[in-house]
Amino acid sequence: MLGQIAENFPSSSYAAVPKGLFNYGGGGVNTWRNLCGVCNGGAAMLKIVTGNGNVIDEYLAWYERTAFPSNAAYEDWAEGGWTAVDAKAPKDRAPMSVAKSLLCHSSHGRWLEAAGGAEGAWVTAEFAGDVKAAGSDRCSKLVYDCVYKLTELVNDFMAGTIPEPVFDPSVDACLTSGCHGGAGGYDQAILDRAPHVAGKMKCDESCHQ
Amino acid sequence: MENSKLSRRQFLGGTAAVAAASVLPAVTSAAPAVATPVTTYPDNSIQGASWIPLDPAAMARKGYEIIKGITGGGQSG
Repeated sequence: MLGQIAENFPSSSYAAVPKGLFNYGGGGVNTWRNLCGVCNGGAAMLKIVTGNGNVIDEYLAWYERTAFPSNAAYEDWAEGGWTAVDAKAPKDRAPMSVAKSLLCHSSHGRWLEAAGGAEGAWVTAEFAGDVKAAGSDRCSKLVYDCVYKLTELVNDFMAGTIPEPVFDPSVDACLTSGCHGGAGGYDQAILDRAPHVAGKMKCDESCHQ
Repeated sequence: MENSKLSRRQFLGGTAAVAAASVLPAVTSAAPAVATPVTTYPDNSIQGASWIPLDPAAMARKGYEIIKGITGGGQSG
């Protein structure tokens, strides 16, 4: 996207952004399975293109609650106009899962659970039980979905639309219940050290049950 | 005769002064520091009426191709 923006606006500063700058984010930062790479790089791109926090929040909250991968990448390829990927074409109708988290570990883990692992029907049928190849297909299609969303967010922002991000309901509940710095005391020692660690992440079904 | 002799301290001091003087031209003739223009983001020149909408499908395809190693040079996921 940055490359396209630089091409569209050659006198802008976007050509100065090094290609591959955010590749460190792959696999949740150098395969630490931490922040998903498409969240990491996507948020960085949104920041330097829009400078708007709401756009980033909307993107990340959308990632957290959306079932991936959609079948859009496959359908795009199946329609015949996208031949560059023939050798590594997306597969049809992969199992879908909601990450409920921005972590690669959770996002990919939940998908593996939904897919049934190496013995899952879809993994067996499409990849002969090669769960690593199946995961690669899933993550690539997830990137397709996310980049599509990122593009829409940037286009909308440039047209004057600033999103009102909707966080998971558990975030509000956590902030007001005193778990992490709201009213009341969860653990005074924790509150003293890190009064607002709750942030905007979905709390339940990820870190806390 | 004795008065014309340099003490060890005087000799070393003089040597240091000569050495320092020999370096000084190189220091003083170095190009003056030039402020490098700072690139700031977002670049507001792309915003507003001049914005050229990006094609979501084309961008999404590119993202897929990059992570699959079909196209190099971009960011990966």
